[in-house]
This record gives sequence, structure tokens and C-alpha cells, in this order.
Amino acid sequence: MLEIRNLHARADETPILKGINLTVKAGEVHAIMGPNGSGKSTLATVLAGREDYEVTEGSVTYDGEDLLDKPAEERAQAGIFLAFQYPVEIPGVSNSYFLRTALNAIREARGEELLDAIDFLELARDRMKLLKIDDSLLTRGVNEGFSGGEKKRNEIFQMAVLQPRLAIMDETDSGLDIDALKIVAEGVNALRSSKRAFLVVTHYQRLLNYIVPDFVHVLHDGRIAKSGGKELALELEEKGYSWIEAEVAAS
Amino acid sequence: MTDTMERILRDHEALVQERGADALHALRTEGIARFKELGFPDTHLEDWRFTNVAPIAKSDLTLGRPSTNGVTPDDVARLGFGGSLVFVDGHYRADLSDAQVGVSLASIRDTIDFELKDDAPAFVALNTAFLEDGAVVEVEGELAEPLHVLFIGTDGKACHPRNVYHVKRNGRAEIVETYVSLGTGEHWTNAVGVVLVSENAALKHTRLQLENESAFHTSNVWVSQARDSRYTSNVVTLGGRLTRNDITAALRGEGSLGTLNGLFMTRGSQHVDNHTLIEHRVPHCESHELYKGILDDASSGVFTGRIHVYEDAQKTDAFQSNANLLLTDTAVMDTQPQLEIYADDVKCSHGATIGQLDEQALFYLRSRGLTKDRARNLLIRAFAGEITKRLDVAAVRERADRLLDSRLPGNEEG
Repeated sequence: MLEIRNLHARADETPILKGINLTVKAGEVHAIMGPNGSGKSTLATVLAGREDYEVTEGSVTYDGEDLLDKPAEERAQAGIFLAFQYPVEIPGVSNSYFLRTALNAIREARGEELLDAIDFLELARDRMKLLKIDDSLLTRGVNEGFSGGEKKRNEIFQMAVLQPRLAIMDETDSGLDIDALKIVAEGVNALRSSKRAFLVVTHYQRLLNYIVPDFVHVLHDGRIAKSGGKELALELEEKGYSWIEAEVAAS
Repeated sequence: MTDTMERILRDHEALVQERGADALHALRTEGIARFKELGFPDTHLEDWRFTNVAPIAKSDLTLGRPSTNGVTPDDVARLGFGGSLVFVDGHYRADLSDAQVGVSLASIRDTIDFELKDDAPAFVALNTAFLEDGAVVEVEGELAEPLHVLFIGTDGKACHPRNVYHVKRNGRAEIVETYVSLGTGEHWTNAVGVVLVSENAALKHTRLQLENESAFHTSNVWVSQARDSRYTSNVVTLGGRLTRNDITAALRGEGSLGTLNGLFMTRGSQHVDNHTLIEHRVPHCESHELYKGILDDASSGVFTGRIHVYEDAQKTDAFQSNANLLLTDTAVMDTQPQLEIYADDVKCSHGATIGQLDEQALFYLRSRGLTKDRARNLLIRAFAGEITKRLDVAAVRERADRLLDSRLPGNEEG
């Protein structure tokens, strides 16, 4: 589904990604871990199509097509979803209007029938139960005055409504207490399917107790320094990141 | 002396000849004398630093006279909201109006102080020089329906309507003024409004400026609020080549609340200048002010918001906010909050922002599948929506929203 080959990207003049290689197949959950500044969030954001980063080398294909050529909205329409590390507040646009507009933009691009307000509400209510989200959240401005936990839950709620094929989660767990983390993880697990892949960017192993990955990759200085199964995350939890750095230095 | 000043003096002389020594004659004479003394304001004056009225001073416009031609009921239906008082070039047209005015300026000459003689600024003096007509509305009890007043300007004409609204004790009313153009040529509306809100009375006052983009529009609204009164002003400006709106709301009775809302959206080389002054003259009054501007192309805007809290006006609660959105690098906005506070036990706050669309928010929306244009439009509409949602006459709100929509990228009218 996703093929990342030798991906290099920079912000302004600073190189951040320095040759990422990664293959993600449908049905798989990949965790991307690594210390601060290793390029985890940049990778997530570049995949979603943020133009602030310049890709200087390498390629990304999604379903066999060049992804990097496409603007952010076309990537979303093709089924890519980024759960933001810092969801943006948009006062004056209600959450439900925003989400219906987004859903219909995606449906329109795929030549599917648009949902009216009533059908949408039915769908939204169903997904809200999954994330234990209160009805009032629909009428409030997008993320406006939401607590940190509400914002993160709202991201996963959007994911549940938009039903992406490739879901990228950028540190969705940071700042969440354990109860909120469990709810978010349940929401994600309910969406796991053989047709859908997840890229879970996280700083902490804790999340991976609840969203159990098939693969764990450790990013160091813009490259994947080590890959393994879920046990790699536990090893990292125990030993920290420094041994990876030592390994990289030794090789 | 400019040609325009000569023409104004000639027009005034002709009006005096025509009307003779009627009840308003003395006022007109004082008005023209004062305007002659002041002349057109220039940008050396502090109040006019960012607004150059030279295009008005150089324009070739003649005084609008009462007539029964030119405008049809179809025009009124197209331009207005129905149920209206209709004015063409500043003159009441009974034949086009659904609502009736039984009150003339002359008849209220002795009961309402609408003269504004003292220190009248130039355009108020000029309005007084041509005092003849305007919407005069006295409200007792509750006005069941919003009253619409439609001002139609025709090409080549200048007009000076004087509107006087008096909502009497315990009364309640909603008045919507809509300013439109019949054609696409230059014309000038120089309106003055005098608004009295008596004890425990409430008035919602909306001014919708939709004139063509060659039109000049100047307005001065003077509001006086008595004890426990409520006054809300919504000033929405989408039209006009050059617009200058002055509003002064004087809170003269304890427990009164004044709310001033404003929104403009400009394009091309349109210029909109809003000057507001809230006078807290007595204790325990509240004022809320929110003005927003959206500037596209090479348009420009000005906001000057003064709040004056008099020495006696303890326990004043005043809030002012001005937010502006620049859609291009060539649009220009000048904003100046001015607080003058002479009392010591008051709550006063203000904030002003000038910014571009939030890049983070744009990316967030695009990452959810919205195209760049759609994302941009959604953010612009949300910004404007904070004001339009306050327009509680549905037909007015819908029209304002529709016009805003039609100006968004990708939606422009042909």
C-alpha cells in the first residue's frame, strides 16, 4: 500500500529526513518510535502533504501511484488520514459542519453520493459512541476550547467517520491520561481491518500496550536505525534510546 | 474654491428658493455656513488621516430632487426586503413604499433635538444644509415586525437623508436600513441618523451598505441612550468605492447597554473607514463592540474605536475588539483603538488584530479532503459568520451571507 524509498526532506535549509525506507501493507500496524528530533513527526506530516517541507530525494508511492505529486486534499481523498499531534482550533466552524464537509469532499472526489445532514448525524452518532464523545462536541467550533484529551479523541472520531485506508497517528498519546488513552486505543482497535493500515508515531511504549503493532521502527537522525516486532518497543522502554545511538555509531 | 463647493452652494441656493422660509430654513442656513467654513476634510485632520475624500470633492454630482421617475416597483422588489419605506436619492417615495410614514422632519422640529448644531463635523453640516427628508420613526410599544428602510441612489446624484428614530419608554423596535444603487455610476449618500432610545426601551439598528463600487457613502449616526435602554448597531459594508461611517453612542442613563457590531468585506480598490465612539457618561453602563474586516485585492480599511469613560462613570464595563483578515499582500488596514478613561473603578478591555488566513488551519482542513479554495472560503466565512450570525432578521442575514459567499474565490459573480 505504501512504499517509502530513500526519502529525504528538509525544513528551510535543515535536512530532517535523511533516507527513510519503509514498506507498509494493508492490514498492518507499524509503530514509529524515536527520540525527540529524530524526524518522526516530520515523516507523518510529509506523508500528509504539508508544503512547509521540501522533499529533496527519494520517492513515496501509495497504491502504486506517486504520492509526493499530490496536494494534501488529494491524499485525503485517496484515503490517507493524519491524526495531528496538535489539532488546530477553528472557531466559528462547527465540528459537525466541518466533518460533513470533509466527508462529502472525499465522497465527491470518489464519485460517491453526498450525505445530507440527517444521514451524516446518524453516522456521526454511531462513531461518537465508539469514542465516548458527548453530543455537544458536534455543535462546538472545531477543537475550540477543547481540552487536550478532547482534541485527541476528536481526531480519532474524525478518523472513525472518514474511514481512511492509511491512518497516520502523530503522537496521539502524548498528554493523555490513562483513561483517555484506553478510549483512543479502543477506537483505533475497532478500526483495524485487513484493508486498513496504521502508522503510529509515538514517543512512548505505553500506547503500544493497547494498540499492539506488527512492526516497530526506531528513527534516529532521520533514518530508520532499527526495525523489529512488538518486543522491540519493550526493549526500548527498558533501555531507552541510547543503545540504538551506540549501535548506529558502531556500525 | 473648488468647482464642487461652487456647485454645492448653487444647489443650496436653489433649494432655498424652492422651499422658501419653511420650518427647516434657519437650520439649512446655519448648515451651509458651517460647511463653507469647514470645507471637505483633508488628510491633515487627525480623524481623516487614512481616508482621502478628494474623489468626492472632485466628483460631478447634483443634488437629488423629489421625483416620481426612474425607479419601478420591480426595482424595489429586487433591491429591498419588502415592507419598506423607500427613499430615492434621499426623498421618500410613497408610491413605492409598503409602509407609511406619517411624520416629517418639520413636524418633529420642536419635540426632538435632531439638529446636531454644536461642533458638527463637515458632512453633518452639509447634511443639515440640505435638510429636507429622511426616515422619521417614533415607536411606542413594540414594533411587531422589523421596519425596513430602503435607500436607492441613482447615477450622478448626491443625497443627504436625515433619519430620526425615537423608541419611547418601554418600547421595542428593529430597524434595518439598506443602501443600494439603481445603476453602476457614481453617486453619493451622505446620511445622518439621530437615534433616541428612551428609558427601558430597546432598538436593534442594522445598516446594510450594498451600493455599487463607484458610490461614495458617508454617514454619521448619533445615539443617545436613557436609563436601562438597549441599543444594538450592526453595520455591514459590502458596497461603495469609498465609505466612511461614524457612529457615536452616548450612554446617558444608568444601566444602559450599547452594542456596536461591524463587518466589511472589500475587494478591488474599495475603501471602508469605520469610526466609532462610545461615551460612558454615567455609572453602571455596559458596552460591547466587535468590528471585523476582510480585505481582498488592493482594498483598504480603517477602524478607529474610541471609548470615553467620563469621570463619574464608575462601574463601567466596556469591551472592544477589532479583527481584520488580509487576503492579499496589497490590502491595507489601519486600526486604532483609543481608550480615554477618567473614572477609576471600571472594567475596560480592547484588542485589535490584523492577520492573514491561518496556514495551520488551512493545512488541517486540506488534510481532511477540502480543496485549497474550499478550505480558504470556510475560514473566511467563519470569520465573517461571527458578525452575520448576529443579524437576527433572517432575510437580512441570508442576503449578507449570500453576498459574502458570492465574493469568495471560485464563486465570484460574472
